[in-house]
Amino acid sequence: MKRIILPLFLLLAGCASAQERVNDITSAFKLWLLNNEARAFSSLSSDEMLISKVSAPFAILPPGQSTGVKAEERLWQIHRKVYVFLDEIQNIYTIARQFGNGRLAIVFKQARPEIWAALPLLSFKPALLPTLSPAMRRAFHLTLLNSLNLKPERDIDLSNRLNRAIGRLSDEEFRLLNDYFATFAALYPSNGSLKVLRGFIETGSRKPFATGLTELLKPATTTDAAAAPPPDLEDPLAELERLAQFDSGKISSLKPEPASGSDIMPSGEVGQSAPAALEPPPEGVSDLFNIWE
Amino acid sequence: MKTFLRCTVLLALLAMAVPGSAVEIKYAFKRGYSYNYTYKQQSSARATAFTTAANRSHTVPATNFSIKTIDFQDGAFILDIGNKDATFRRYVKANGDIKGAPAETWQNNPFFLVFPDGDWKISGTHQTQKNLVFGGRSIPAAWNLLLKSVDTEKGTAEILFSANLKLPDDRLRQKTFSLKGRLIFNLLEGVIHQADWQTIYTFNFANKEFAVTRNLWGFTRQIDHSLIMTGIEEQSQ
Repeated sequence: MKRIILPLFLLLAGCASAQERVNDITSAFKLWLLNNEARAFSSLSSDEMLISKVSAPFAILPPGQSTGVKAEERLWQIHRKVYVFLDEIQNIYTIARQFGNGRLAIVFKQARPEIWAALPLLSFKPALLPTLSPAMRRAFHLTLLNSLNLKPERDIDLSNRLNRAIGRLSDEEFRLLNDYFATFAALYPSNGSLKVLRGFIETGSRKPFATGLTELLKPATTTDAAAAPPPDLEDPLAELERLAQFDSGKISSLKPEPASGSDIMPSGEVGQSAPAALEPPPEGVSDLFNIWE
Repeated sequence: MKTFLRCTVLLALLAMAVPGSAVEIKYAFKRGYSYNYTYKQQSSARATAFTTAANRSHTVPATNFSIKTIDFQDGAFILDIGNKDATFRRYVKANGDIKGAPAETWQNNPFFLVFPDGDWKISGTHQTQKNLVFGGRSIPAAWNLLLKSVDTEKGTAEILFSANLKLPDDRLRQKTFSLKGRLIFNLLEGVIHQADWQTIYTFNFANKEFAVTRNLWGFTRQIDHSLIMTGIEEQSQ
């Protein structure tokens, strides 16, 4: 048994590590800067100690005179801001890579795991569904976002978040960062992570990206779905295709064009069909399938 | 007879001229006396990274300290140096070398400049060398002194001094250190009257990967020191 578990564990760890490496675009640069800082710190410190042995020429001087000011503190201060900025960029990039294409949102939309827990109530206590389902759905969604380390207010517009991160650096600080980027690129031309990082900062700050994340962070409710006319919204492949087109700039909006043959409905299971397509319940009877609100 | 007189006058003139051309620089602290000094320091620093530069400067408020002479034993003055906040006992030889510092860690003791023993001619130089042991390495250091002038009227001697210290460096870490100063020694009292010196340290840090070398950071620190005697007083019993 151990012979199986150990290789399996290593394989899983390897896969996870490989995934992290794929998304990691800042570590190489950050480590390079940190390493240089450490070397400079070390040299400055040892030189200071050596210099202190001769900077007081006379034995009649009391020991412990000040070693003077250190202008490099300002430099390290900028670097600390750069590290915070890089962490933010890395976080944005990871979220965009993992969830930006909207596939996860579509998977959840297809599977609707949030209604599974409420389904047994259909048989036993149907009257409880309208009150319980929205709360359960909200709890599920909140837990899902927490487990994915996503926050709707923060991540709903990653482009804006990226621009806010850039805005926290002054022009001078950003210029210095670009100089560091250029130096790193010159020293390590084969390192691809920096190209991705620079490209991500440059293009991400100019146009929206990872728009598929919206669906995951703020999924359309049944009420919204009822208000939305296009039925093919439920077609995940069509949605994915639109997201890809939008990301590549081929279309300017995510709103689907009106279908010419609206009578051709995409095939789907009962759970996937839009509640808006169902017949409205008679007056005075609560809609059992309206579990979104 | 005339020749004898001329020779006598000439010798007399020469004898008068000798004290002005060579002097002996040595401490002559008087037992029971207190020598008061004021020390000032002004420092400035600059750090650069590409086009980004940071400058800082600072002036340390003047600090007063006194040197209380306790005794002269075994060729060294026993001095209490400091002020009301902290006092350090040092055994200092007449030529400026340190013989002991019981209150301080001996390994951290600085390398002090030492005056030449005996007469020192004007424009004469004097060098003291020492290997500073640091981090398991031996770093050569030296003090260079030059007796620039002697003012017989005021009873002072002007001495210029500099330090040589080769900081450990390599192709990627280029460093320089210079210390230059001027000292006015009170020949009558056998103590330092005034001293001003300046230290400048530069450090340029670069990165190299294969054939590509890039400068990264530059650091410069300059400190101006000033020491002046404010008075000599006999310690009360």
